[in-house]
Amino acid sequence: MSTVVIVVDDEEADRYLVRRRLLKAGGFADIREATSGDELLQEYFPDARAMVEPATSVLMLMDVNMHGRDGFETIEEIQRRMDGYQNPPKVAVIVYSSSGHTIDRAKADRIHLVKGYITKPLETAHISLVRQVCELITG
Amino acid sequence: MNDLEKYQVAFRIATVPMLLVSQAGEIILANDLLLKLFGYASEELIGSSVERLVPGAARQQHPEFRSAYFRVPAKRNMGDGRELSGITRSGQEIPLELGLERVLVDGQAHALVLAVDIRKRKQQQWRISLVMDAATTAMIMVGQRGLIKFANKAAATLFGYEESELLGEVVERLVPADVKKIHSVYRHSYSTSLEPRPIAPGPDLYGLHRNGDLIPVEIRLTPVETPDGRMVVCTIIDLRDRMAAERALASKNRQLAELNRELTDFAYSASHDLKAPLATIIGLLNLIQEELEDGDLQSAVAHVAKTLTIGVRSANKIESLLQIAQVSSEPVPVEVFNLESVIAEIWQDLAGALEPQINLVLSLKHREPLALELKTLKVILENLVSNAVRYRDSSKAENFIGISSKQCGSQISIAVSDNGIGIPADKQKYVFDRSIPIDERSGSGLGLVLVKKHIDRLGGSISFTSSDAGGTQFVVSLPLVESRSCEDKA
Repeated sequence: MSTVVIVVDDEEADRYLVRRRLLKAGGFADIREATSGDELLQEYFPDARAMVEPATSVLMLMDVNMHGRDGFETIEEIQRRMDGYQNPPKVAVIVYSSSGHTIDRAKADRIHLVKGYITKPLETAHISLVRQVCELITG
Repeated sequence: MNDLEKYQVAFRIATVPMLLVSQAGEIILANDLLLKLFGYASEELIGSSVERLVPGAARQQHPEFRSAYFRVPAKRNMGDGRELSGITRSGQEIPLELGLERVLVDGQAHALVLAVDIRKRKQQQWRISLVMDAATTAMIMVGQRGLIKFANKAAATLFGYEESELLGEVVERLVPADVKKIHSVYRHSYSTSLEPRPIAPGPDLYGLHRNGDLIPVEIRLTPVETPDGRMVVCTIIDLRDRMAAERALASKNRQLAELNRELTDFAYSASHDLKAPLATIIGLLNLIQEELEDGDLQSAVAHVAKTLTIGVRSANKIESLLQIAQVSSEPVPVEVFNLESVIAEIWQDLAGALEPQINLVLSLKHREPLALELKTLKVILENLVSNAVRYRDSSKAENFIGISSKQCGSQISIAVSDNGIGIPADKQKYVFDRSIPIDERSGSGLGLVLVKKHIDRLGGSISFTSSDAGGTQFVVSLPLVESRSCEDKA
């Protein structure tokens, strides 16, 4: 069972960079993009229904500072919606932000779904963390 | 031994200066202490008129007082409550305390006079009052029945009186009308107290100035025992300066808190807004480096273009941030101008070249020309108009932007409205927030932040109405600057 990686970022160049890095590193077959938290929720976590692809495990690289719902609000909403699911998917989030600000790190630490924190840009050294979190979900 | 001889003996042993005066005012006896005090030899004074010892001002009236005394004699202190003095042989006036006793000497009414030199006491009193008057704290001494026995210069000045005007007045004269009654009750109950204490510590204690003003004060009461009985010394501290200082301090604190908040915001914003494009640029440059190493020139060129775009956008954003930071630091000149031509200029720059055209609907009802910070008004209008242009609804057959104005007194109100896509309900509360752009069409996301900051600085206001269905209206109100040239032309 493969893990879907979703890059949630309103900056096109940043989404592109993640995609390029992951593809180059190899082992990530299914990389998708969402341009905002709202788009992610609408596409992958529709309210009060089982997830479209229930068997899949999902890793999200989540930007914090986005138009509309920010990264943290989006994660909270994912949690809220999944609590209503019959068969919730296996989900993990890596916060992916340009900010290394302690406020953001502390916030990330308190959220159960968040399994990692990467400060932009994504570099080769970060790939191993992404793999580890993938393995963690697929168990 | 006749009466006179007895008095002679008594006078010799007396320890205070004494005189025996006949009803006609003749000095019959004077003891050595008295002679010494006034500087006379016995033979000079005995047999002469007592008025010889009375200083100039009082000398003429003295015989009258003297005969009145013999008509209604009583043991009393002469000139009770008045300053009395005698005059010496050398013409020096000395303050005296005089005691009078009517006595019979060989069947004839005489007056026995005790004269105490109170120069030292006076000097002491004078020194004390000098000290009291030099004190910057207002002090009032209140005796029984609430009468003011003493008030120093600071007290008189504080309440707007002369010191002499306060003497003998009831202390309630200095108390605001609404608490006069209760004050006298408190005063009675305090008159039995032994402990110094403050009056009702708290923010609501006021003194009443002669002109009716209420003065915030702090008062401390100290009971003192005097030869005239128990009195209360009231120390009154004028709190006006302190309260003004506290207000100034509170206002400074608010300013600092605001600055601190801005700094915190800035740090957070720098961490996100300013660093984000750099992180992207670094990511892209890494990629370009690898592509150049791999000889993939085509990709590298594409990524350099991307990098450039982000660099330019980011530089613009920093420029906007700097503009916001400079809002309150640089004075902007007030200029007199015609709003209509300013709007025409802005419109030409922002919407002149657009296809399809947007209709500009003007409805200006203010009096030209205006006197305002022209540069600031331009920033405000440019932002509002460019937002209206940017968020136009291309699905509509016709787009319009309306600019209307009206003048109410010294306020001008300018409305910029459009039939664009509107601001989504859930985004409306963020409109004036820093660094929360609404969507991909947003520029730096700082335009309205800048606008609001300028308007706040000018003491104006901005509000908007908008709906998902479309159409947005921003209304800006600004106080006009009083300008003679504006009136002249109008």
